[in-house]
Amino acid sequence: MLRRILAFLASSGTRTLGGLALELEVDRGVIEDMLTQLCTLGYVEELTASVSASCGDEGPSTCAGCAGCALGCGQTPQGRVWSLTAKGRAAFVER
Amino acid sequence: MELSVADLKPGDSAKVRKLKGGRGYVARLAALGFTLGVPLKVMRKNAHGPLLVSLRGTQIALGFGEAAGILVSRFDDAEPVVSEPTSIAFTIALAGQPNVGKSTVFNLLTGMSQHVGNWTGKTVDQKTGTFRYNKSHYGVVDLPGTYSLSANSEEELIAREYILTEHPDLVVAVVNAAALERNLYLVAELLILPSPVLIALNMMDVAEKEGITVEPEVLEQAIGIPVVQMSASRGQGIEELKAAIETMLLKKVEYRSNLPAILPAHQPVLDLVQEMIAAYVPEKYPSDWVALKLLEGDHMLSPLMKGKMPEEEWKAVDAILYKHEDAVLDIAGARYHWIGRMVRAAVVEPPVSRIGFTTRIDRFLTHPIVGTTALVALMGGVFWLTFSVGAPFQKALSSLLGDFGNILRSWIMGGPRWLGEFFAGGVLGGLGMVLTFLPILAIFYLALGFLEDTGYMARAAYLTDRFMHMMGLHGKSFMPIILGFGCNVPAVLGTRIIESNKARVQTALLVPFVPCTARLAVVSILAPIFFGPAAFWVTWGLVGANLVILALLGLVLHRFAFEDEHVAFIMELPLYHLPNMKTIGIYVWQNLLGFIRKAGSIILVASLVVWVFSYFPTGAIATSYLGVFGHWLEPVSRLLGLPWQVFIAIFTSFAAKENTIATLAVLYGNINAVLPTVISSSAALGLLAFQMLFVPCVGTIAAIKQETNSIKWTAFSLAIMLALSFGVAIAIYQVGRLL
Repeated sequence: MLRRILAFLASSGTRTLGGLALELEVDRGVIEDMLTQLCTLGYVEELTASVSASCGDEGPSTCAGCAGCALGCGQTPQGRVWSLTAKGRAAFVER
Repeated sequence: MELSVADLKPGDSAKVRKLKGGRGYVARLAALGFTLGVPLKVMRKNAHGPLLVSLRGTQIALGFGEAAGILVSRFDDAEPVVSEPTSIAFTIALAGQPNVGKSTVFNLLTGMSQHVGNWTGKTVDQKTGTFRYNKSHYGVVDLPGTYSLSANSEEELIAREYILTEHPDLVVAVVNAAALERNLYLVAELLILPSPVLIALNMMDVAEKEGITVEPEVLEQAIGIPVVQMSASRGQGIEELKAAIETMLLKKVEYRSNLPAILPAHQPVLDLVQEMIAAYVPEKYPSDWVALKLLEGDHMLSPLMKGKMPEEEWKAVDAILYKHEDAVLDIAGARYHWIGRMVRAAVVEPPVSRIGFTTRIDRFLTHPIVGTTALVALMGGVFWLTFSVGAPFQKALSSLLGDFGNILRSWIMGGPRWLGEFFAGGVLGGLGMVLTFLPILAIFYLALGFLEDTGYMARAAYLTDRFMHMMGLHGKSFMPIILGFGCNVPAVLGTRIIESNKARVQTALLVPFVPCTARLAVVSILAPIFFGPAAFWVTWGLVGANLVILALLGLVLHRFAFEDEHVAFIMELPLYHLPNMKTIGIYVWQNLLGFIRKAGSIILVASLVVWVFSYFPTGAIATSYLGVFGHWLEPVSRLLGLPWQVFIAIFTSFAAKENTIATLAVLYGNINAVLPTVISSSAALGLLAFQMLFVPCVGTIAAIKQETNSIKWTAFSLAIMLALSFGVAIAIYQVGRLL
């Protein structure tokens, strides 16, 4: 089951959590649990796309890049996104 | 006389002595924490309304009738005599994931006989208690709520260490019947530990309410261990649970649990590891379990065994574990497979209701064709709403501003002429004109905020990603590109999430083609001036054209300059929900405030600089410093069909995109009235395309330099945007002339 998720992530295209749950015929929450487990094991990572994440250690209040930004922070797309790590790609290729 | 909670005054403390009422009612009170001997304090008591009681660290509101049913004794009264049995015959551990009603089951089982302490050396609460059933006396240990037993948290370590070292006579796994699939992972892990397991299938009432039918007998057959159905919050099933515990422990009924299987390919490895470590495994741990956990890469057991084994022997084990590092995928995968089989056997779900509203809607809204069409229509709708509602307000404000400028000029009539022009033309003309566009922006942000708060924008991101995949742009570039719709600066900085240097540079080069809100704001302001009711089609087309150019450029860069980073995603799309007006209001306010701040700083300074150069030394634009410079640029601006003033205005957007509007207002005054008279339709379309493709603001350029760490790539970015903006604008104008 976990390998199937890695296989999805190693193939092209993007899938939604709900879509994947329907495809694998499991509960959406179980897919979330599997992704959390794969993250813990280092095969998958959850990507962060927030302005503050882009600012790195400086933080949005002092980040040079944000100084001239009119928008302020918090302009983050909703939803969580997961993708394969290098370890995940290697594990899949090994098979 | 019996003392009840209703007799206590605010501030009084007492201990629960007795609960009056029916069995179900008492069970409900016990579920709330009102067990015998528990101290409580009355926090508030009014003539009308409920009493507020502090109990077990929480506050509970009670009606007077309910409070009268809870009999208490003051602390100075004689303690009720509780007959504590002298010896415990059996120890039971309660295990379960968080939020499965485990504490309620514990309270119902133990009632008054509870003790709260800490696990040795830990800060995690340890609750223990006892209960009597028939002639036997049982000790109960409430294990911390855990999702699994993989040593990923202190709670997981405590739970499994307790079972492994204390060997409880029975582990009662409390599972949520309404989320059985998620809960069975813990059961799968408990089954491989030495203690027997019994399943308390709790929250049956919740499952029933959600239309999920779980068949406990089938589940019992499938897993091979006893299953007791319960609705602990209603006090249902507790006697059955006690009876099942008694049967299992006293009558020694043999159960053979159906364990998750390990792949045949891994069995010899598991056997080998077990053989190699057997002599060194601490006595309290079963060696087969340790071998399995080592194959799973357990964070606690690996260092433990390393410390126990001779170095050479551990190295040999470690080499095997390293070689089979991915065995964990099959071991954990087999558990999920096992769970799937159990659930398919025991759970009957109505298929339609399980596919929720969001999933049903998403079948359309994330569909490649239907969803993309809906996205295009929605974005078109946003622009239409913006222009049809916001533009009339802007025109009215603009007219008021013109009148106010004339009044200002007449007030300062006695002073130097330049002073009147400075305030009326420079400050009001530039800054004031920019601010008249606030209604348009307010509607624009309101529409976007609405889409964002319903959860739709995540679908837009998902569809955009599909589009990018088709055009060859994919991988981690997706996140920065999406951020770019807000502001290009954090989007370029966001390319840091891309490991590959080439892909990072490529994405940084593409981000400026994503129309940020500032670019969109300028186009949203200019388009209705030239195109009236058709403005939303024009704006929508320009946004689409920018994305097509972005994708084509991405395709070219992928093909000829950069390696192909092939990464797919799994996205969690939030559930659709009714938008919250307060959240949308904050979103609109924050964006408008950002715009006003920008207007009061960068745009104001730029307006005044432009005014100074357009006024001095002669007081007439045509012969001013700017006029001379503009005439010098005229051969180029003529290619685009634009007056030099417009050309200059675009160049001032280098500091901030909105400067285009401020400069046009300083140079032309009432831009609504003047611009359509000096620019043809084809030149206007070219102007808008030029604005969409022109070099980004200085902040974005600085970010590109910072992230690519290359003057060459920064210059390339500027060059390609200049070339494209000029090329496309000239082409539009020249073709328009021919038509």
